[in-house]
This record gives sequence, C-alpha cells and structure tokens, in this order.
Amino acid sequence: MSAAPPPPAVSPPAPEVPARARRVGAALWGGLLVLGVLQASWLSCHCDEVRPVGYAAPDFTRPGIEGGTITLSELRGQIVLVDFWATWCGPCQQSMPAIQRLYDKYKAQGFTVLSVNTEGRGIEAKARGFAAHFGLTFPVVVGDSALMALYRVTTIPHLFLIDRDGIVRGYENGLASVQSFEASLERKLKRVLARGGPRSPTNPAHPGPGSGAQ
Amino acid sequence: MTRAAAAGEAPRRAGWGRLARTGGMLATPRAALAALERTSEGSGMIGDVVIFILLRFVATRLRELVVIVWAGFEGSGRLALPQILQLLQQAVFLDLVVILGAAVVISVGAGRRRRADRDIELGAACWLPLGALGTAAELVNFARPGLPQALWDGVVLAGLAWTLGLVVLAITAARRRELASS
Repeated sequence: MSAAPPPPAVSPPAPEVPARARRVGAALWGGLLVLGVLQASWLSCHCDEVRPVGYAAPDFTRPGIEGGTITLSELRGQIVLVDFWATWCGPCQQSMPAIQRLYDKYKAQGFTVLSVNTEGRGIEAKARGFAAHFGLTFPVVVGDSALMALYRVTTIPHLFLIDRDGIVRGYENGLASVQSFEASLERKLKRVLARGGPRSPTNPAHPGPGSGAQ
Repeated sequence: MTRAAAAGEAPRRAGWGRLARTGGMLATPRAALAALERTSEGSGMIGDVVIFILLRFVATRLRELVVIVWAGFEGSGRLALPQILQLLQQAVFLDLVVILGAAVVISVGAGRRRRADRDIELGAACWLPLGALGTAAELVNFARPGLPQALWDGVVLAGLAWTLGLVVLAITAARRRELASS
C-alpha cells in the first residue's frame, strides 16, 4: 500500500498592504509634485530673474589697473563687452586674444571692452603684467566679489554684451573652444551693431541679475 | 498561475506598488521590508528611489536648470550639459553615499545571508526618510524662504538617524533569509 501523495505546496497568502503605507506614499510623491508645480509657477511669474539677456546692465564704478576709476554708465552710447576674468584662469587666458581681436576689429564702430579682473584689490601689478603679456589695449578694472554677485557671476570667464542703451544683449559663460567662443561673440556683436544707435534716453527698469549702482 | 505566485512570493504589482513600497518604508517599515524580502526578482525599490531622486532634483533645482539651459541658448550651448551634470552631482552626492553606505552596512550585517542585489535594494529603501524629510524642508523653504542653515543640518541629521533605524531593521530582515545551498 502506497502512501498518499503529499499535498501540493500552497504559497502563503501575501499579507495585505497597510493602508497607512499607501497614504504616506501618496503624501510623499504628492509633496514632490506640489514642490515641482510651485517652482514652475514661481518661474513663470519671475521669468525676468532668470533670463540671461534683455535687462538693464547694473551700473558700477571700479578702479582701473592703470589708476583712476571707470564707470560703466559713462560708456553709454557704445557697445560694451564686460568680461569677468582672473589671471590664474586658463580659459580666460585663452579667450583674451580673441577678445582683443574683436576689439581691434570693431572699436571704430563704437565697440569697447570693459575687462574686470575678479581677484580684488592688490592684483593691479599682476593684472598689468597680464595685460601687457596679452597685448590688451582696452581698459581693465579691478572687480570684487560684490560686483560678481551683482552680475551673478559664479564662474569665469563670464561675459556680458551690453548695447548702446545699456541693455544686456549677449552672454557668454565659459569657453568650449576659442574658435566657437570668438564666432559666437562676433555673431552677437554683429547683431547688436545692426540695431544701430541708442534708441531711448532711459533704460527699461528690470530686476535683472541685481540692480542699482555699486 | 503566475510565475511569481508559483514561486510563493508576493506579486510585485498585486499590492505593494510604488506608493505602498515607498510609503511603507516610512509608515510600516517592518511590513515593507518583509514584502521587499519576499520578492525574488527585485522589488522595484531601486527604480522608485532613482525616480524620486531625479524628480526631486528637477523640482528643487528648477531655477538653476532653467538658468543654465537658457544661458546655454544665449551663450555656449556645449557648456550647458557639463554644468547640469555638475549640478546633479552636487545634488545627489549625499544621497548616493547614504544608499551605498547603507547597502554595505546591511550586507556586512547580513553575514552569510548577504545578497548584493537585495542589499542594494534595502540600502535604497533605507534612504527614503532622508529624501522625505529633505522634500518637506524644501516645501517649507518655498513657503518661508531663507531657512537657517542649522535647520537644514537638523533635517539631514534627523534623516540620517531615521535611515540608521531602518538599516537596523533591514539587517534583521536580511538575517531571516534562507542560506543559499552550496
């Protein structure tokens, strides 16, 4: 007499999912969704605060490395390239000859460069040596962290192309290659040059990346 | 009969879906860990956590992302991707350290019952309190911007303490595994 076959293995029923787990999960993912929607709605209302162009360039006055001071607003009527850089910055060094070439090529059409060293006071002698090494003929001023914050500059080289009305029209951040950098900058410069002379005596108010004079 | 049911495991999609899996780790961690350990082909927890981390990155860093992308259009577009990757690295560094650290501790704690794939899932699951508290703090900060640094540090510490508690539970769950037959 043979033994009865063993009953088939029955898998234990899976325990029910606690309702609290689902509720907390819904709150977790819902909170994330709400955060994303809030951020997106904030952005849609404060578009001006994140756009890199189209706002009035914050005015500033800084000491030049050759002495005296230079104020950005005194250059109104010209197209100004404000270039933030440092002597130790490799990409800044690479970009300098390109900027000098553009300056030489377009200065007769009202283009100028306001070069801002970001290393603060005491760098004048070194900056003069740097300018001499690269044959820079445009003005160089000494900036500081406050000026960088005013323009929201966190990396260098960081350049702002300002039109004759004092509005930021172009923007460069970093350097992928000298050729693309120079081509991009020249393309934007030509676009600004094509806009012609100053259009209005005053600039549109704009919160921009900072506002007011320094 | 499905293969999962035939294997005697809790079917992945029959109850412990994404909401329950993630919420369970916060509300009913023992049950969630037990369910996670019952599955044989992966619970989906790693996917849940990766999705959560990426969505949180976008939700909390949306402004910076828009600035980078917009500036990329205006400036040198080729630099936008490295900047976004750098931002992502900054945003998720602590998360990855906590997940991998928790996985290693669980694996060591499991002794001979360790299973690398399952221990990483448990490590990811144990990270969830940190993500939940961080998200809550971001919401509060949105409503009342300028939370003091001490509060942010407190949130991280509380999240790490909670995570540590879950790691202990996860080790207990891992030590209940059957020994692999040699």
